[in-house]
Amino acid sequence: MPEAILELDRVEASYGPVPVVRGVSLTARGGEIVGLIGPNGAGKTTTLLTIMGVVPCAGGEIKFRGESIRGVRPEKVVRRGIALVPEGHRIFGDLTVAENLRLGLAGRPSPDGLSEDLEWIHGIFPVVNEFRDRPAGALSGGQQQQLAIARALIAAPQLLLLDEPSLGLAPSVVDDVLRALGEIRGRGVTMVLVEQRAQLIAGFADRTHVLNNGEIRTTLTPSEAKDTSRMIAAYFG
Amino acid sequence: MLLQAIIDAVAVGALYALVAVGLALVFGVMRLINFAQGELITAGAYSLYLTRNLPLVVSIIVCFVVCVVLSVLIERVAFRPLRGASPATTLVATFAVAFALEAVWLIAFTPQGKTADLLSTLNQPATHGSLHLRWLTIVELGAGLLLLGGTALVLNRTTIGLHMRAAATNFRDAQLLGVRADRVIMFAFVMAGVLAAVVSLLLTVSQPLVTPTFGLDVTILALVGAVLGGIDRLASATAGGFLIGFITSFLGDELPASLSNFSLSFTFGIVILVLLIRPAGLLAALGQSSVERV
Repeated sequence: MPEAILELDRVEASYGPVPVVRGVSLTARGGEIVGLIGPNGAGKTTTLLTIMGVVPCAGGEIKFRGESIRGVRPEKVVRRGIALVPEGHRIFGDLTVAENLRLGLAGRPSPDGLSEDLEWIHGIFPVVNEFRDRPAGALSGGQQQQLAIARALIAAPQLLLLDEPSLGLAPSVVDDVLRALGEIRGRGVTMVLVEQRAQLIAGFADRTHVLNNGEIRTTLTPSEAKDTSRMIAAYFG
Repeated sequence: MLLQAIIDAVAVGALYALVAVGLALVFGVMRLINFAQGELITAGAYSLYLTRNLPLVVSIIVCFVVCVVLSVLIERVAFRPLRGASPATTLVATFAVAFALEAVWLIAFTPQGKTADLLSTLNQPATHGSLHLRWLTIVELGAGLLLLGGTALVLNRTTIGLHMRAAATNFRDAQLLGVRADRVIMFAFVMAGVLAAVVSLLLTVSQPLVTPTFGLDVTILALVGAVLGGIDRLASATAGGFLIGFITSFLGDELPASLSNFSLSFTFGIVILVLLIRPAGLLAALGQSSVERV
């Protein structure tokens, strides 16, 4: 069995007095894609932000490659090998595409192998190279999403957290994004994928946890992706 | 004479622009208006007074060291522990630091002021035809251009500059890419310290009498200028700083003697008018209605 890259053990997080993540436990092993779905306000984004150290972990344990990262500051979490593609791309619209990409280097632990990585990234997302001198804000939504993923990859992460990469994208563009994620997995990058498109992700990920009210209600394998009654029960139960 | 008044005003504008850049750099990464910036200028001026008998180069180096070290120290001791606190808290902290330092100057140097007489040759006129400029005016223009160009170069051509621009747009997003918050903020304070040292030097040459509020007056006016231009962008803040210096100097020169005492009133009158029409700043992007950016 591949090494456990990310382990959450009964993780708790809250905004002020309101608990948002309540005892979430999950594991992502090397090269796996783990899906996280659930209704709005289920705690999906907060789970990712807790892993990144943006939201304080109020209880439980978060381990990356066997070492605790609980309480580690976001910029250090990135440098250890975890990258986040945040919801809504969050690219810097005033900076050029190339500058946005260069920002990703801030999280890269070492410059070794950068040119090969860049070549690989340009291969998956040609638009990043083609429009390198344009202001990133001038790109379309799909292109901005590609830039956001490319920027995360340039940090050479072992674990990639993606928060709703398909949000606001046309179905054909979503297919492109999923194809790219498949290629990224081919390089051995482990992924945690938060999504609203439940069935699509349950069929795509190795394992998909359904989160509701801060708790994991059920876990689906790709073969169970079409089991709508179970999904509905987890969503509304 | 009009041309002379314009050239003088441009030079004064350059000086204010340097102060405004220092304020805008710190504002960019911390969303904090650092009133203590004025105290850096005062500290630099007093260091020039204290080292007045040493060789000029030593005196200038000490001035730079004092301004940069004090700037970094203020960030480390007063602002870093308050990171994440509400903007009102940090604003009060900058006042506290400014007043505390002003009290130190009062105790150490008395309210009467000390004379730091250096580079007085720069106050000699460099006459060209009917133009009677001071050498200092030319130096101010040169220093302004050099430092503003240098700042732009650092921000646009270096990695730390790129990190600062990203952090100024959205600090959390930048951190989530691995941009080191401490380093970016520290660098902004170092740059603010360097700019304060230059302003300190130029201001001391033009007004050798250093009082405890020496740097505060120019800082407040530069801040008004930065807000007038739009403090959330470096270029607009700089232009605003320049503009306020220019208007103040020009009105001081050109208003009839009976009105020249009111030149500041005229300046602030113009500021109020501009902010009524464009609250986000004169040079803020079109359609932008407020200084806050999400």
